[in-house]
Amino acid sequence: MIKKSPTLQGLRYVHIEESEAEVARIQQALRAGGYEPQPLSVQTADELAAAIEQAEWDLILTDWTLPTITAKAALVQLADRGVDLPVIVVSKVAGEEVIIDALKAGAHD
Amino acid sequence: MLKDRLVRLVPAVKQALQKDAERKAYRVMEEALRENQSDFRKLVEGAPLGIVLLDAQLRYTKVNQAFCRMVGYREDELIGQTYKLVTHPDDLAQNMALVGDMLNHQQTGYQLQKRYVRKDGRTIWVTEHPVSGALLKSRCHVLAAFVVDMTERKEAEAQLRLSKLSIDQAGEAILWFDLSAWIIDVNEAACVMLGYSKDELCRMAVHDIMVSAMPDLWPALRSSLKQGETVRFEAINRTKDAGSFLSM
Repeated sequence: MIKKSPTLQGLRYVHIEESEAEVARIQQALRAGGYEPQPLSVQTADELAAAIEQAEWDLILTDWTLPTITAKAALVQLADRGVDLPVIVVSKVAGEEVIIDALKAGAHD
Repeated sequence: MLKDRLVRLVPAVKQALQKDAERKAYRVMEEALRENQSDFRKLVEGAPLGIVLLDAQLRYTKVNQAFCRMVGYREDELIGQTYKLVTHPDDLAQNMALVGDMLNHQQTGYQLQKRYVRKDGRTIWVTEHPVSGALLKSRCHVLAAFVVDMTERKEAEAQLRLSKLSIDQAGEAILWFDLSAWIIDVNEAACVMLGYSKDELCRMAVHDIMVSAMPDLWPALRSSLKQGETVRFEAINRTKDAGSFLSM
């Protein structure tokens, strides 16, 4: 059970990321920025679909490319399901092409 | 967002959440506005009075069903036509002057009793309450008008005038009393017979002029009149010059 700090703002998000270390690092960065992170980590399209169905979320964070799902495919899946959530791509690569593709697919950053 | 530059993460999250909240609030507002517009359209469409909107060339762009029924034209026959189509030729000049004044911003609205000529040729009386498009803050409509059909009222008024004229011209004295026996109206013959002016009589009670039997008779008379019955009785009437005459 997550204990909420009274001064931190709760942030419920789905994190599409295969590395647990990355999930933890981002959680730490968000906590340092004044949020109380409540992430659900997923690695496949099915897990993403199930996560979307089971709860209300504030945000989607996603790596650009995973072996099982790409951010672009995830964004298309979200759009197909009529999910209207801000999506931020957090990637190791950030070429111009990646940025344009991500924004075109509906990412906010 | 690069994984090795997470310093940008929190501002990016804040910005994304804020934009998301604004977008959703805007969508809720848009939906409420659409619902309002839809409700407003239903209200205008179902209103019992005529409502029309006119463009810069003073052509009907919107007319509701009440207006269509009033003038006997279908909606598609009215759209694109100017108000001259239904305005009686004798009322057109005055109407054009008032519209001209309003459009030159000398007025925000006015009220005009005028005649319409229906599609079937019948003339009807209406009261128009136009308001300028500037008041409505409308970019595509320069004028809106609410129209009330006054034909029945005009006919009733004419009937009333005729009845009053007949009573006024009658040779018999006619007096109207309230239930407390005060005189509320009289015709010309009553004034002549009793020698009082209309104003004087309207400050008097029935006992002041019908002197015989009235104090005893009035309670029973009032009771009968309240039940809508007609009562006939004889009375001696006192005139202003202290004369008297018998009436039935």
